Amino acid sequence: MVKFLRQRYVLFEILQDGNIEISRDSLMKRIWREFLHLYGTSLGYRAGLWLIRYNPKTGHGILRCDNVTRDELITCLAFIRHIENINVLFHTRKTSGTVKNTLKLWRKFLISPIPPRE
Amino acid sequence: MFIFGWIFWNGKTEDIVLASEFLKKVGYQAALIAFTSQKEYEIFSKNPDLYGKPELKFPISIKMISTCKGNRVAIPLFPLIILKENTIHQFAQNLNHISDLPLLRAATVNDQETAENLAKDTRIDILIAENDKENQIFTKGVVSLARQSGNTLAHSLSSAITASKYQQSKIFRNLFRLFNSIKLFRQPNIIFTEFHYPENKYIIRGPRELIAILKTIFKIPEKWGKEMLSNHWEKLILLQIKRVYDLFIEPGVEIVDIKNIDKEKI
Repeated sequence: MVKFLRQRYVLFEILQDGNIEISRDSLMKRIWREFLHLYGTSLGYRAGLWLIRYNPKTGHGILRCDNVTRDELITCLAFIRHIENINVLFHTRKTSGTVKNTLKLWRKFLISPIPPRE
Repeated sequence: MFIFGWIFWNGKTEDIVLASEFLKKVGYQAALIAFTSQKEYEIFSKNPDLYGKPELKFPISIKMISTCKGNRVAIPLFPLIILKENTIHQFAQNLNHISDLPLLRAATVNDQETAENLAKDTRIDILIAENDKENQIFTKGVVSLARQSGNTLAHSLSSAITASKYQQSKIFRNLFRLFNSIKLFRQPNIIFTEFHYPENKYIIRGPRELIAILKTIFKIPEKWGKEMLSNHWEKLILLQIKRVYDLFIEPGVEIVDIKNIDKEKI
């Protein structure tokens, strides 16, 4: 029997001018603020957002969400224009159902070191 | 194949080369360049670093797009001219000068009257609405006239992305109404986020993000969203390739093969 709520892992990349490090806390605050502005708390609790891995030097990371709210997460990332007065562009590379597969895609598409789990 | 519309021409080849690399990173496989005059197009077409004439092979298909790449750019670029005039008389004068050139023709709309007259004109390929005000000009009458003459409608999402939080809901509402009216007519339409490189390159959004925006906010199914970003653009680009070789006769008629070609003429 297929589960109704399944997880999805979104591999993303932050494009910006210069190599300014964006911290994990400021990134999640910005994503939550945009998500709540667009969709409110009625969808916020169902999103299941979690930052699994993130490399602040390169701007690459993996976000976890539910299968029901995957497109909402991608639109939320599309509407983010700046974080702490830095112009940014979120580029979602791939989505997958397991962490193992997304880490494989990270090694294939984003040639950067994978940070350890926190 | 996802196609980006459009980069504004600023006369610098290095800026356009860097813009094409940026677009390839974001996920596009081809792009359009917008000109405002004939001189700018002539400078672009004579530059082999930016533009390559497509190789003629029958049957004409989308695979020819990959042969149009310049020497230094990362993705193939296609020319487009945008007309911005105040009166219908000025539009007619400019169209007479441009109608022989092998490029796509677009026009921005200011009034209801000019929109209705331009929608009837078969010389124009694309009708553009950049702002919220121009989106309100596309009424049901204009959409049906555009469908009869074979024009496509272009809508910009950059105003929705750059607007403040208080204006976004108004812009979303107008676009939602427009898309619902276009659905009934099954009118071909396209989505674009134009930019000037390098001034505002962070207004661009990738194709996956635009499809997600159309699905979640405007309730447009994913299949139609992909058509707005790929299929309708491909038809326009094939039209431009046919104009290069004078192969376009009228809509519904297609040349399958030519025998005894004089290679010197091509």
